[in-house]
Amino acid sequence: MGFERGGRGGARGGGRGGFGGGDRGGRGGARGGFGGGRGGGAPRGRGGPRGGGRGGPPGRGGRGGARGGAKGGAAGKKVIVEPHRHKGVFVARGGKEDLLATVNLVPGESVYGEKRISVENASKEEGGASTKTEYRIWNPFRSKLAAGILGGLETIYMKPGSKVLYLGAASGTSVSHVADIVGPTGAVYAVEFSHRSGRDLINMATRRTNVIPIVEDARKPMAYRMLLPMVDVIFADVAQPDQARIVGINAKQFLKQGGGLLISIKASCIDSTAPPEQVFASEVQKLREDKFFPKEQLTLGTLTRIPFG
Amino acid sequence: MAASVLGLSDAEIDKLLAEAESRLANPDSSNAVTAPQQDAAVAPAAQTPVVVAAPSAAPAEVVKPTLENKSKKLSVRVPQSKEKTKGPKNDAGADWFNMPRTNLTPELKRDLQILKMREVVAMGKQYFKKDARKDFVPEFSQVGTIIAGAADGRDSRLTRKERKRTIVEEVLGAQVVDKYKNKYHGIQEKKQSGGKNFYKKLVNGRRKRK
Repeated sequence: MGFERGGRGGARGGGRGGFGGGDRGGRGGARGGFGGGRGGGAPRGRGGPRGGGRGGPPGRGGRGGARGGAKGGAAGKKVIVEPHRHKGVFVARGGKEDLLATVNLVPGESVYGEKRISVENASKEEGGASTKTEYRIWNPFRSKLAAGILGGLETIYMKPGSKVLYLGAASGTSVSHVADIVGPTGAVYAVEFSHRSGRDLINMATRRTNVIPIVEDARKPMAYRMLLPMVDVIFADVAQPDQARIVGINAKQFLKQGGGLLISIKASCIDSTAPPEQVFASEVQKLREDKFFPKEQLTLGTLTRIPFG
Repeated sequence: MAASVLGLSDAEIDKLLAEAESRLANPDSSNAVTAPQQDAAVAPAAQTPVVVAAPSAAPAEVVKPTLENKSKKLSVRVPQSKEKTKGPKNDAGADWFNMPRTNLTPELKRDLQILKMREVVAMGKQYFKKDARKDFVPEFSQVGTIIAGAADGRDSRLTRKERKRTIVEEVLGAQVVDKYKNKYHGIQEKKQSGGKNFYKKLVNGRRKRK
């Protein structure tokens, strides 16, 4: 869900198919399936009523044909990498599926065992050494931000050079992609309370100099106020009953006027007895009281079935 | 010609011009310096010196020739860098980490064409959102190869033989290529049935029978 702080409360972004996703309507529309083609067949044919042209029969679950012919995204495949609508994000288009990708800040290394895409750039002069660019594939099943982008978010507020406060960084899988987006000129301040996953976060941050890991309680921003400048965006994925309050006090301290907020609300973590719609509405109301103007609400639906890293 | 009329030799005129130029180059010391120079230079000229000398001293004189204006502009002008022509950009800019412009080789063109038609390639096994772009060649793009992650097993890696240089080769190298052929021949048969050829065949058959 996207919020903007202090800006004009302009019109909400209309539904825009990001890529692969269905035509997303207004708030809370059921998501269409995204360009699947993954083995196992679990996400296939989930298009439902909104899934663009994918409403047809789900087809067989397994891979069609012989091996080799049907390996989606298998190592060794060729893909064409293009810029995505969002700054700093790329789309890799292959024979079977489209993949979301970010530029790898640390070429030659993957953070959590994700696939990478290696690109050889021919040098401009004759006989010069060719350079290599590397992209990392961003799995929407493991990152809510990626799921949001696939769902067609109007804006993610962050771009190369942005400063991002990331609340609920966990092991830093998503954080590493955010670090890729903001690039060497930006910075990600990743707050995580748990020491166990904080350790992984710190390990990841050792190779990415634009990530500042903060193993502290996000409820007490005063504990880490010396580490943070004003930020352009807050990404909150804390899954706590009082997450609106957490976001509010952090925004009051660190968020620029007109800055953006992306918050992921898991209804069952806030009130497991109330229906999700009611929970969302009450959270939005709380954020409004903190001078946030809701811009966009997106239901991640099927993409959030498995726990996130 | 004009110089001889005014009683100035060519050398003197050259000298005057050079002096004027240096004066214009540093305008601060203009008036103080001009006065004595004027006397020295004009004294031998004797007749009607005012008209000639005036341009260097008084700035707004009717007689002031346009030629001097030009030389003023020429001598004082600071060389300016050419304005950037608005052509196609070389890369996607810092927002996309300077991704280069598409280098459209014939192979890449075929790859992009097959990406556009990948629903056909999938043979009804998979359905894709329609690509609404008018130009199937993206402005900026790169061709890359997927590298397996550490945890990916054998199933998610292609063997050396299965690795190809382009997407087209990957499609043609797959074992389902016979199905494409069947499909193609099926369509051809359907399209070519009937019509003139059918009639010719029929007639030929009759002739053979005789």
